[in-house]
Amino acid sequence: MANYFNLQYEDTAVTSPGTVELAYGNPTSNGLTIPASIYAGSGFTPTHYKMWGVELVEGEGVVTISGAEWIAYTDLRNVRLARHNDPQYAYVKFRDTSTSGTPETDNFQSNAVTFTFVEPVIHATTEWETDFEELGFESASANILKNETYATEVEFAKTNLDQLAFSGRNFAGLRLEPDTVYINPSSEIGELIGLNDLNYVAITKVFEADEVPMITVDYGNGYETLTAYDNTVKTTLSGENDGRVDNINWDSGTRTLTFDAYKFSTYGFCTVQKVEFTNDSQTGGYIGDTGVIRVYVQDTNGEPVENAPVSISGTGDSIGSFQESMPVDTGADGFAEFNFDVSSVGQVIFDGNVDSIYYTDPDITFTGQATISGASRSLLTQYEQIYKTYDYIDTVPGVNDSAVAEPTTPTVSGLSDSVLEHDLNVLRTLMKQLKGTDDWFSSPPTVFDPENTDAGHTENNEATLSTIAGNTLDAKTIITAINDSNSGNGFSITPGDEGFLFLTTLDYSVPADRRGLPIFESTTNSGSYQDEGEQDRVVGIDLINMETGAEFRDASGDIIFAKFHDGADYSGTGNGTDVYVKFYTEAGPYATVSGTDPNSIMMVYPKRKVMIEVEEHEWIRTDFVSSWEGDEIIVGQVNDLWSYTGASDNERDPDWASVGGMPIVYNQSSLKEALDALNDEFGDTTYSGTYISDGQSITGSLDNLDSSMFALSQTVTDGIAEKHVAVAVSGIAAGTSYQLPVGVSYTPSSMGVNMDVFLDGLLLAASSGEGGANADKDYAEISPAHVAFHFDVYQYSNITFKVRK
Amino acid sequence: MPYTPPSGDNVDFTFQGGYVPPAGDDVDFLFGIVAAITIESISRNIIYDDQLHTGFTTSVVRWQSSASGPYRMEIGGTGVSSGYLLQEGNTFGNFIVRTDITDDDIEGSTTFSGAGSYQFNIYVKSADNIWTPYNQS
Repeated sequence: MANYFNLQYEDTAVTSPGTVELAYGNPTSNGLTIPASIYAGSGFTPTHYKMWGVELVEGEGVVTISGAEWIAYTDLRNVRLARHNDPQYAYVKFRDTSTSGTPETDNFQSNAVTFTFVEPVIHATTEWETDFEELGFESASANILKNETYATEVEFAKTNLDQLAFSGRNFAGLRLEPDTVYINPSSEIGELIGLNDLNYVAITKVFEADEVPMITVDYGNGYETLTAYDNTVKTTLSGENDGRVDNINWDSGTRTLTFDAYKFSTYGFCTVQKVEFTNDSQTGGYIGDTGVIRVYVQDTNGEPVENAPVSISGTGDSIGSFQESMPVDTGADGFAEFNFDVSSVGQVIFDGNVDSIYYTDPDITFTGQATISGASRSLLTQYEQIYKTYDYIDTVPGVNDSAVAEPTTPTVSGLSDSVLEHDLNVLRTLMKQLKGTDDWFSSPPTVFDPENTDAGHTENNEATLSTIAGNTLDAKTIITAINDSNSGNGFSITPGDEGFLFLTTLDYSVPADRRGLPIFESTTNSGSYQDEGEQDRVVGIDLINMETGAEFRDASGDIIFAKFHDGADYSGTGNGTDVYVKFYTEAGPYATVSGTDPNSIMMVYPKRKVMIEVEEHEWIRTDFVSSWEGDEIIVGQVNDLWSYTGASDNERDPDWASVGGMPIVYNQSSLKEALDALNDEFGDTTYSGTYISDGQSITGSLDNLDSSMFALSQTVTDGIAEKHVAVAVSGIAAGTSYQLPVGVSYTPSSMGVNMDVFLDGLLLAASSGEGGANADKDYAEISPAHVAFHFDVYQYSNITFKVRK
Repeated sequence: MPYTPPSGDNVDFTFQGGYVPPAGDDVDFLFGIVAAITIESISRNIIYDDQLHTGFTTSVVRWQSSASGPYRMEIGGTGVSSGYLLQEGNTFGNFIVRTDITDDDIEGSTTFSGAGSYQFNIYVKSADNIWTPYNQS
């Protein structure tokens, strides 16, 4: 089961004695003719050999050793086996006549070859044309399966069918019927043909009639015609049918059709079924005109016949001549067209035929008419015009130019009767332009209609004028909102006002032109305005308190709004000059009240516009929600909020300023989290100490701490002394003033609390009384830089002063 | 019984016994018919260079495939299209194909290196677009 094998390649001659090999060493052969390789052995150059045991010349029988003759040497030749199934051998002997004595070799015996051939299986409707024995069995290069009754032959040739072999093969897939040749594609022979696109069989069929046959094929979808009348392949073939047949030849003398079939299913044959004048063929013309006559040829398979030679002959008056030389071949559509130039008055009967075998029936009568006045308007000319509209185009160049769309002179075929054709072509072109399609007859484009679609948003509505009507940008008005603060000054209100006269040149909305201000009520011009009595969603005016920026509300909190009234009813002029803005609550008209109502308001009022007038910056009317009257205000308020909080556009996570150490607020994602963190850090203001009270504010707590720390610092400061040491350079008499070291001073006190004095390390005590006047201790503090000892101080005594204050 | 994998892409295989699948995710399994090739006979195993030894220069190889499809006979190589293409065409199942190999075929191949043994590999592409593997046995 391996998929590989090895062969040894040798580039040196065999050193063994001579030998003869049959069939390249094959032990069996399906054919009688086989190759024989001959070798005389190393060192011997033969000029001749003789061979026996096999047939050397076909028909002369197997050569015997006694009948063998010397033959000029050749290393390879064909021999024929005897027809029996036993092992067969060839024998050979060599000689060299170029050498003295004409040496000869021994006899050499070949390998054994056994002939075997299994007769191929065929269908009952076929038989082999030649017996395989006559062809040498598998040695045959080709054989033919035929059915004599149906005069059909199919040739199987090894040169045309890759891997074709006959022995043991099954050809029963081929069936020959009276009018068909069928090979089952899934049969063994069918598969063999299908293995290679270049594989084919040659088919020959002899017909009884002279009718030219055309080849048809049926591969499951009914018969289709493959060939034209002239035995060429039809130009209209495509797909599977393209390349099915080739090398088609029709011998009309022997009525024999031959062709090569490449792809198999069922091949059949058809002939011409009918030849007829078409209904649009002209039946008359004025002298000087050209009548167009067409002939259609159809085969028995119902398809148009291509390349059929059509001739027309006439009987009757000689009234003109055809422009074409006969015959005229049909096109791929089966039509042959003729142009008959009318030269005189009379009638002629035209008869058409194909190959003088098939004839038109009925024929047509053509009438030549004398040219008459106004012929261009005659019924005949009109018929001709209609006829010429048979062919059309929808791409007329320059169609949008009056010279083309409305020509004053004939423009198409140069004949005055071509105007209708041209006009229709122009109309078709314009139709194509209007629909925006690839041609004038394609379906118009579709548009999306929310009332006629499905889950896939299918554009079901055809884009016709009726679907467009009512759906254009100016088909309906919309109500826009206009913010007016009287240039920031607001509209002044005086207590008791029921409204105010608003000066504006904007027109009132009227039925004839609904653009403008919606007027809720008019007495002077009652019934003149579109929105009289309309609901608040149309006519309502939002009022803003200029002092608070919120809605205008009364003392009870009810929203005050307004509606436009005809200015002419309120001492104004009215439409185009002014309009009255009248205040309302839900309960009805409202008069302002002193003290609670604002002195100045602004308003957002409605104005009708058509869609196409709306500017990109304009504001579609909205309702008030919690005093937010529109996006502009909301945006302003949001900006204020950003400014207030330090946030900005698209910022949702506060970006806290980076500080060192361990800040409380550094990674919180919201102000609330930050404040909570601060709360946690500051605690619940419950204290257990001395200087801060529970519930005390941070400021109060810090103030208490500050005061306490100041007092403590003072106490500490008071307890710190500066030490100064002096030596009595001479004795100091009691009661004399002694100056402290230069630059040292103190604050005298009654008890010496601001300075300590040591004498030779012994602490002295200050006398009481101002300046130590009582002299009741060791010394008196008599001045900031002097003391007076109450006893004598010896020379060289150490006097130390520790000054605290 | 030909194996039919369950539908869908998420087919988990558990390998038992001695088989170790290659590493990585890109393990492609091909389910389908692999044509089995049978070498029916080789008429002679030695081919002589006809420049030095006239005759005995042709060996007839008869082989068949269990499945129909295009085939390639290559000299050398370790898989389809890796050797020198000697012959290609179409065959169908269980149909004996005869191929005559001559010394010129070997001498003309890109793998020719003088006297020696040459391996010939036959590959058939089955209906599932799978070629017979190298050294099928």
